[in-house]
Amino acid sequence: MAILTRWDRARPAALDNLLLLTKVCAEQHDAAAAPRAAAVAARSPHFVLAVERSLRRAAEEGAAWRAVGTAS
Amino acid sequence: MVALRRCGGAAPPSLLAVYHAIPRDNVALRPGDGGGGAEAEAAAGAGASDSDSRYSATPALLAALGHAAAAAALTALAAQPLTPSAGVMSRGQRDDLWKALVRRERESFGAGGCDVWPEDVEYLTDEVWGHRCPTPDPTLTPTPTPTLTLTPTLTLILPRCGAAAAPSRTRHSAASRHSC
Repeated sequence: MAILTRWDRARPAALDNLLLLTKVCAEQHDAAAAPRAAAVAARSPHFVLAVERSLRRAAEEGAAWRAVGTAS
Repeated sequence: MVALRRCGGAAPPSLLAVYHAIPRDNVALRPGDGGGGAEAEAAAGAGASDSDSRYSATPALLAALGHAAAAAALTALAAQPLTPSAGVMSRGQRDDLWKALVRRERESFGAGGCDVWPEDVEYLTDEVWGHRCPTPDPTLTPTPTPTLTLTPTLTLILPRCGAAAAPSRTRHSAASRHSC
């Protein structure tokens, strides 16, 4: 079962801060001492970079669609 | 497809949610009647009798396939990527995931509200994460993780390219051990 949870726990849930994880992974992620600490410690830096890149792309696309909505 | 056609005789087919929407006298695409899908119909429905074809979903299926082929041709001509226009997530799934997110925000983080919409949840799940947890499955990932390393050929080429020094034999051997 997959759920969305915050990538960076210090920031609110947003398009560029939500990660799809299995429930177990999400609980481990949320129980970490510091934001992103679990991911940084358990995964490679490449994983962290890939996640942040995907979230950056989501933020850019979300901003583009919001601009379309306000212009029309 | 044949199974669907065959079960249309005595009892209504339970698999067809659109059963009542299909015209019962829709025989325009039956084999031998011409039209773009007649050959495909003949190939797909070989073995099925004409008597039970009035409950067939084949015309609707062929129309959908034609629609998909036309979309693929148009996007190819326009040099655009072919992406599905409708999400693969049902509205029920989307709402469940959104409610779970709102509940999680409230219970785990104490947030009063959530600015994320159900449509955002669908976008994130479909487009950004592809319905997959991005973390590698530990049961599928052997330890130590395979890594790329220098081959003996590269160690010969590197000095010629102006590299400061080729990796020593010892370091290369150590790296090779980890890569296997």
